[in-house]
Amino acid sequence: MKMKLSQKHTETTKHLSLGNNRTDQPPSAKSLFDYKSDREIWLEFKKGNEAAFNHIYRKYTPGLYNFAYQFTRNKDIIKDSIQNVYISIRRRREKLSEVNSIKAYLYKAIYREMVKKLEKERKFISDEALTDDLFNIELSFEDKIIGDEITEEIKTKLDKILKQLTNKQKEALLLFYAEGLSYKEVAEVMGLKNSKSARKLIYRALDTARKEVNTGNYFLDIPALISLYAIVSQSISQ
Amino acid sequence: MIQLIRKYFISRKKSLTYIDFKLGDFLTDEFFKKWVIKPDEESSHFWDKWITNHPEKRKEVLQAKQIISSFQYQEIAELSDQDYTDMYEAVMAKTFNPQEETTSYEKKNNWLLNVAAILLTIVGITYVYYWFEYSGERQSTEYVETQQILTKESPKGIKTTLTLRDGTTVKLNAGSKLHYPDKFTDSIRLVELEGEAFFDVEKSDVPFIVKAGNLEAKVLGTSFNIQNNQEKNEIALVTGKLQVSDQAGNRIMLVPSEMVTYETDGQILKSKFDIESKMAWTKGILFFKDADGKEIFERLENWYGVEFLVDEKFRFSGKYSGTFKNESLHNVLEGIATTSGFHFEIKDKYVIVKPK
Repeated sequence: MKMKLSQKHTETTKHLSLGNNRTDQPPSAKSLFDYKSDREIWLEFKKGNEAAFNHIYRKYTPGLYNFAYQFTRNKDIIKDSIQNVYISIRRRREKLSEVNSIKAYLYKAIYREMVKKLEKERKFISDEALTDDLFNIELSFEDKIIGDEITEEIKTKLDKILKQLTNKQKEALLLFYAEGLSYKEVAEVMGLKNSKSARKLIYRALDTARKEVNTGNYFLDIPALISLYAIVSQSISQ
Repeated sequence: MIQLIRKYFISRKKSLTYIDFKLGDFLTDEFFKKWVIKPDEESSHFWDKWITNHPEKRKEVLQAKQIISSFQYQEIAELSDQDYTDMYEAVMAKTFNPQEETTSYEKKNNWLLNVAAILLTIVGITYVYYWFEYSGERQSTEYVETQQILTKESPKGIKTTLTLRDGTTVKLNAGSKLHYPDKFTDSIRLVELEGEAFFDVEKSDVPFIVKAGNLEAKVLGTSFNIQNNQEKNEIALVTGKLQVSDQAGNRIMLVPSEMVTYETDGQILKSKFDIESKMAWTKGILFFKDADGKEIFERLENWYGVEFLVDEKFRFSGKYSGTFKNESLHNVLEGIATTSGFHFEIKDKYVIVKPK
């Protein structure tokens, strides 16, 4: 920061002395593609535009890596799977169908790839090593709002409740909330029938959590737990 | 025009439906969720207005908003630059080379399976040989697996809490990183910190060691705060007992409200500290004591995830002391600006500071 700050000094004064109020827009590394829709970027990629591919690779690879990591801790399998996904779309690029959400498309591809790989692996390794701890969720409440009252005890309890969920339920919750996908996209990624099935899956996950809160001996005098309790107990009215 | 009318009807219908919404309905409503996660003009316009018109629903909306944004992966894997580049190069190299369609990893498996199947019908021993070779390979990859080091990062403007496998909880201050193994061994629990964090260590016979810059803290179950960045390299103990050592092998035992600072000249210094102010950040309190401009702006950059652009002509006058609890950046700056004499302007993620 020290270095940066002194650099900024000169930059700022330069702008100021020119009477040019550009300090709020420092030069950034945004590419042209950041302003285009997924559909347009995908078409460019299909046409053979390598800049479009680079944009896709840069934007989605870190996320894909983390997503694949939720299936296995084996780095080689993760890397192989991601490579396979990219190699496969590059080879078929002209024949690829049109795509509205590149993220959902790639996540679906890696999801399939991981399921396939893990099934193969299961023949060799004991199930335990693979099914253990997939897609764990953490409720990281912002400190600003209720942080004071969230003790580690409650966090552990919430963690326990979330651990009761099935892998599919956890996957759906994370794709919907943490990754910000729509129901339709969640269904696409997980290979569910339609967006209704995805919605149902998420409803059921919250319902399971509600039952867990109701049966467990949890102290409800803490805002975090109360709000979790409130959501799940009021909500699933359907 | 037709579109406008349709839009009006749609939003009118939405408005009405949402009146009957309970917390969970908000949670599972796509339009609502999208507004929380990725607000755009349309959704912001709609929801800001809706909340103003329906103050009785404010509580539910806020709770739902909070829950939605709190869902996170428990363990976030960070892609290293090396792997990022390696994969890219592999993709480029293999795209037009059908020979390498399957990756080396897969190829090995398939090849072994084929060979084993054929040989099995001929000579048993050969099969056994390959099988052994294969299981040897497996073991070595699994070994690598257990050594996996994970990294949790609190970006600027965000504080996070994580629970490690042994039950130890770590509160990471904004702009800090923690490196930790996905599984601890039986003999040591070792983590490494860049930045500032508060540790509440689960009691166990296995020593818990935090490496932070030039210092190392060794504990058996206690809570303490570590700061390790450009300005400071220090460890402050809140409860329990703590042994701190430096690279030269110097060791110091701490009791609660004692801290160790690593000085730039290589000395380590033991002193008393005020628990309240040291722990303030974990409770959402911004705490300044006799701070100068540099310290204030750096702290605010981390706290709110903004960048300060300070005019060259500006000189921070005197020292500033004060506390802010859950205040907006604007309010904090206003408080400091009046006593310390500067003008400021917030534009997106930038704060411009000029002399008065």
